[in-house]
Amino acid sequence: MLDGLKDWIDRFRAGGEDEGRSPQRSRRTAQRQPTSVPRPSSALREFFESIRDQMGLNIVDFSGACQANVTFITGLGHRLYAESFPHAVETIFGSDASPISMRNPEKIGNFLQYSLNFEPQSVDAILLWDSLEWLEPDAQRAVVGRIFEVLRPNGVLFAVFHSENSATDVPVHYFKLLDPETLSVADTGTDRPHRQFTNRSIEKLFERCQSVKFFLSRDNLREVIVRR
Amino acid sequence: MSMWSSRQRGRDEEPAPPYTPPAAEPMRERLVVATPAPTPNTVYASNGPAMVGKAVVVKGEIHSREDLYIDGEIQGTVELMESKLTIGPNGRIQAAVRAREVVVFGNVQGNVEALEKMEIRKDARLVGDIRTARIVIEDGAYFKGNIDILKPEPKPAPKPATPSPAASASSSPEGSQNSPAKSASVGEQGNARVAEPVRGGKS
Repeated sequence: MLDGLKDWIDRFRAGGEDEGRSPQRSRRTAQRQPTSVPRPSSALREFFESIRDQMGLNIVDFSGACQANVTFITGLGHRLYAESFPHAVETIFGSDASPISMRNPEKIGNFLQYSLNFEPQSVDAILLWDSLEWLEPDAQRAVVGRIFEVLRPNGVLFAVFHSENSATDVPVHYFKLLDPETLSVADTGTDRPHRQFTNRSIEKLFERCQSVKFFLSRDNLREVIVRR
Repeated sequence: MSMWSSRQRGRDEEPAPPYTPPAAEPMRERLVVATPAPTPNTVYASNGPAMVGKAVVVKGEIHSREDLYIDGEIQGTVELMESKLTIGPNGRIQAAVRAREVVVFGNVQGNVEALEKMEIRKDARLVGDIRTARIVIEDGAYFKGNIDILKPEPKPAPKPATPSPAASASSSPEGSQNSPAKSASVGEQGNARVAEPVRGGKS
């Protein structure tokens, strides 16, 4: 009985839901003890090369409140806006985040208002992580469209996509910045993305932007730097 | 009516016994009854921070010069520019907060300015913008908003060296009182008692 309760708490902390309430999120399995692995990141290096020589930039981090990221970005003299993308998804689209809910234009509008409510061209850089994978295509396009509006010209965005092309579950990651070239990636469980991306589909998604640069790695993650 | 009449009858039938004053109790026993032993809570209340309990709702402004612990509900503004504000796990704040130091265990909706340090503890929830010199966010806390790190104010430039006794002796008393350096230093100190003789010297 106690083990069952502990499992549920672990799952809840890892971002999962009670299986009885949420058929969609019940697919997400949580690791009992998330393992954090540092990995070098060429895309991160390029991201920080874009922002390191300036001060007072507006940077949005969608990993939520994370001490490492807050310390790192504010330590560079920038202003940080912290938002938890999974929390925003759950708040607006419901705990099950069902495809039907994510296709509802009104809810998509509410989501943009809730999580990307910035002045046009007021954001200098965005750490989007793997957020887009957990959205339905309609919501993805709306989010990318709003990002294009709020990001200043030549602004930079860092995103991550899984490289598997099969429709299987993929690890759910939690990213932390260790230094300008190293990420800490913790696997908090597995889940099935709403959409699998190819390089072509990513390019098409960001087709209004200046450039989309891919960085392949050994751990089935594609890092992408998008320049507005 | 019937009770009244029965009492009347009782008094008529059985006269009340004569009053006998109670025997005087020893002084020590009276003291024990009148002043209960202090509990840990009373010690905390007298020495610890001021406290807003979890059943308390305040709508308006709170200004405090001592540390404050809020476990209740506040709507309005909270200002403790010289002190530490702790928002307990049951605390629900919908307010603009300004304090020297802020520690959040509960729920805050509003902008927070912590001059020295801000802590958002595990399971806390804060929606609003933060301006602070240092910030600590524990894993498990929820935060949505801007973080502005306040730069430490530059130290004031060293004051000009005080004139040597020889230099002051060589100049006239009026001249030394009216010199810009002297009046500036008085102004920086903001001490009215020092400034008054200067004005008196001029007249």
